[in-house]
Amino acid sequence: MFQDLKRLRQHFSRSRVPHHKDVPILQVSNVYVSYDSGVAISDINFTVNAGDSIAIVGPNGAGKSTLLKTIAGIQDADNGNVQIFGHDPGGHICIAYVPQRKMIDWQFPVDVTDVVMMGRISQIGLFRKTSKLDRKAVREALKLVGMEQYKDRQINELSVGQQQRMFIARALAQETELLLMDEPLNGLDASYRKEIFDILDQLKSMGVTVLSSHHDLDVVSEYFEKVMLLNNQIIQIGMINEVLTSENLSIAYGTNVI
Amino acid sequence: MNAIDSLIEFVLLPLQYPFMIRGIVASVLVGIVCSVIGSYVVLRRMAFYGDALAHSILPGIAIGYLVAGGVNDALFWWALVTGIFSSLLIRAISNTTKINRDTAIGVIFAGMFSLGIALISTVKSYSVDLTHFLFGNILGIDNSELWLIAGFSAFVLVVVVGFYRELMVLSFDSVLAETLRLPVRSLDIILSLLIAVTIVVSLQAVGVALTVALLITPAATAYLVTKRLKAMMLIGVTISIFSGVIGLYLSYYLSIASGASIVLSCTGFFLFVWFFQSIRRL
Repeated sequence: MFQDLKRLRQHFSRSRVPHHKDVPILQVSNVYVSYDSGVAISDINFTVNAGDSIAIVGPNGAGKSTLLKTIAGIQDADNGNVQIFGHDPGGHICIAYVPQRKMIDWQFPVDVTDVVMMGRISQIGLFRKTSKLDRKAVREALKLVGMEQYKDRQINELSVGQQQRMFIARALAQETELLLMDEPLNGLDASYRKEIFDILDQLKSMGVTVLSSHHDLDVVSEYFEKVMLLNNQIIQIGMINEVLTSENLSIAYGTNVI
Repeated sequence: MNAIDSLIEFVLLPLQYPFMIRGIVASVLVGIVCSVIGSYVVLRRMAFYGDALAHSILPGIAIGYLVAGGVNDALFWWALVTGIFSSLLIRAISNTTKINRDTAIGVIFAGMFSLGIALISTVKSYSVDLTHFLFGNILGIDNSELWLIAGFSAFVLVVVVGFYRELMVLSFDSVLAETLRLPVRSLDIILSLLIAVTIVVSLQAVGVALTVALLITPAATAYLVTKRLKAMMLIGVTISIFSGVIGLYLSYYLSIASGASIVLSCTGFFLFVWFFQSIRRL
């Protein structure tokens, strides 16, 4: 509760932790998370440099979502710590998390612009109206993901691909530097996947760091260069051809999966 | 001209009574604040919480009634304290045990409601008074109560305007609220308290048993026809205002209980909208 009041004060005063550019954007040390049902992830250690795009792969129940949520600060770690630009995640608003489709109430009475504007809420602050800057950020974010013409649509009227693009636009409006995406390609066919990959390219050119989880190895090898293979622990992280070896995969998935 | 004259008479006749005017003003105020807060209640699926919280206020009213002997202002403050107490109690139980929110609500609601009935039953004329508390007595509102209703309605609306975006994000995507480091718990408590205040404000109008209807029926009706939260609130407000006025006229001319006739007007709007939407889909 004390921490919550600190957040209330921060939100009201709009004060933020400064970014130090000479340290890695993300440093995860000895992170361990367990639920009532058992250990989700343990002994997680890795660093990510700004601008990287890393795919997290692993079998169902490997702890991919847990890892992303822990980095986002939605899930508390039992042990270890996560640092963003050398600080606790607490003071940062530069992390964006794109939720899985099923987590969202698509009947909620908001349109695309409303949702993207939600990314600006920390910049807007309490008891204030949206500024020209906020509206410009939203417009540009929508343009970047090619969603301008859908800006007045209720969110239930979007295709699955458009829904993903809307959430990426929201992250852009938020001025995110670290984008976390949980199964962004789930339910997308090849043409939609291409759209998302194009946007990922664009994010890369803007210097946005992206961590995304995937369960389909073929799709991952279509696009990503850097991969983390996860099964409760990190089996290996690095270039895709070094990580996705048959030896590593049999450790992660059990024998003879591929 | 005769038809117009009789229509004017139909409208004006009840207005010669100050209690009717006070009742209409009260029902409009209550309608506004209920449908704004009710929009969050509907979207967050908190209907049961709203209903339970209204019922759990009964012991507060009973104590106020026994202590102050029917001074209505006193009832208001006792109800407010009890409402806030129950709301925090439900939170505390569901947060500190493995019991989920719904169950905690059920336990507290039934317990508090029974305590209220037990207290009121110590008074001889209890069935009449209990009826007022359960179903409201909007035509018995006096000026000072009207001011309390107006003051607290204004307070609730100011807080909603200030926290509009925050409450919307909290309701739509709590994960975003968390990653943006919004004060999620404080916001959650603020919303619970706003619901408690709104319920107390509407108690005089429709009573403990029917308050949930003002909270959710206009908002639910608006939800059927809108795509944006602001529009949902505004349409809900409009429906509430009409329901309040229509309800009181029905109550006057048909001699039926005012709380019930206001709620029935709301229900009428809901059924009307639902019916036409269903026909259009055919």
